[in-house]
Amino acid sequence: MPDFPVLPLTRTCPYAPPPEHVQLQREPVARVTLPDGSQVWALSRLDDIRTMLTDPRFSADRQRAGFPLQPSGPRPSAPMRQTMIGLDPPEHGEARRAVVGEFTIRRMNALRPRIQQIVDESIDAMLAGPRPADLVPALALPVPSLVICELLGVPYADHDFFQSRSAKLLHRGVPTAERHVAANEIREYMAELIVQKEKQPADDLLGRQLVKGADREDLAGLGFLLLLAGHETTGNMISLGVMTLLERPAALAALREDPATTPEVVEELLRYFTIAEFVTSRVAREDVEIGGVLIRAGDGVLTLGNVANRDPAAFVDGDTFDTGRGARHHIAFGFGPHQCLGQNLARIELQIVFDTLFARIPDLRLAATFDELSFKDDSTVYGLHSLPVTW
Amino acid sequence: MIRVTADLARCVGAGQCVLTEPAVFDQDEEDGTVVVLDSTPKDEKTVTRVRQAIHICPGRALALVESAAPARADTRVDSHLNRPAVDG
Repeated sequence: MPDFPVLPLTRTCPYAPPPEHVQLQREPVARVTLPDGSQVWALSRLDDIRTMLTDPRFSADRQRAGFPLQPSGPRPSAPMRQTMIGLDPPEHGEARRAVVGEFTIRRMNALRPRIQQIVDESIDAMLAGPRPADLVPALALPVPSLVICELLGVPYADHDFFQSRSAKLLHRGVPTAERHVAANEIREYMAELIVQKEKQPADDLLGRQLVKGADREDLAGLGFLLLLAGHETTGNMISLGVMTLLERPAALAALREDPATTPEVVEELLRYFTIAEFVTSRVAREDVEIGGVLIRAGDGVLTLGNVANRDPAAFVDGDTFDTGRGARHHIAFGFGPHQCLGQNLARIELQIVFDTLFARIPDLRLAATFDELSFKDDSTVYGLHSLPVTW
Repeated sequence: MIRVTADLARCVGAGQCVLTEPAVFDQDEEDGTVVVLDSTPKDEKTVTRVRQAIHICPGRALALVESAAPARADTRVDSHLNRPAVDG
């Protein structure tokens, strides 16, 4: 049997994809082995990934045989209904269209004043507390968590409960059975919350979906997905972004000088870290040729988004962090019909956090050496476990 | 004449076109799908941004077509992209 490289590997440098992933650029549609011994394809060219993710012959169904990177071990006796990320056409389109109106640019912009208030209150609390402070629990996690809770209509008082369970779900080292328990607990919590909202109608996302006649079990799944996706990912980008800007005084000075450039800085941070690249795995429903290679029905496909977001064919000097790049064609939020529903909320949260934090605490600095920082190498979503800062 | 077309069956409501060129694109309040505000942009910079919006559209729902005829009010047109249809 040919010896295919085992993926995915962890980053050896926080600012770069694992070298073994980068090497695959020489074979952009490569056969690789997953930790469970199964073999899948790995795509590393931006154009190939964009093509694959817009081709309906590839399925996003996590329960379909051959889908990569699924937890091994016994499945729960009663399989959970798929959330939107695991649906294919035509069900996916119907499910997405029912909720996407909640996430338009106009709706997200309308949240700006409230997000600003949440950011200011978190910074107030941090400034009133001891130095050094850990930016992750002080700012990076609570801001997106509070925002998604208010948007969905989930009591923030319960955030410890779903925070601990969502961390388990994303940690690759947690046994399958434990992950299922964590997922079930969040689902049950959501189901109970929806029962309450039926009794007492609420003007929030879950409440509005109920009024529109949403199926309760589907809605519990949607709430679960948005809650999980809404705070982990953005939280990690906040801490990674603050770290990166503190390490690059010139970029930080430019951002401070002209807040109009903040959206471009955010875009470059998203490209540079590409923290959730394996969310866009797929399995082929039929034989399909990608990049001149025949992928057979039933074959799994990994997308090396972090490598693809530095593809020399798509980005000039892609390994360089360049806030003036103005590149919007990265796939940090995925591509195709499943592209991140909350991407415009994430952009606004990141913009407000960076603008506000560096304006209000001009002498903010790391309270640890770079080597002392602890990164989430073992998580599906990359990030920092903690970020000690002082001022 | 250049005309901006949008295929609503492909649109996934990601709003990337609105973020790129709000003078040309808007979103439907209800389902987030694209609304073309100006289907015949003339300013060169605007056209450049429209091309960028086309490139980054995750549903591959947008196109610029050369057209001798005046723009139609209706933007719901057949796909101009030679790719398999994707789910909205």
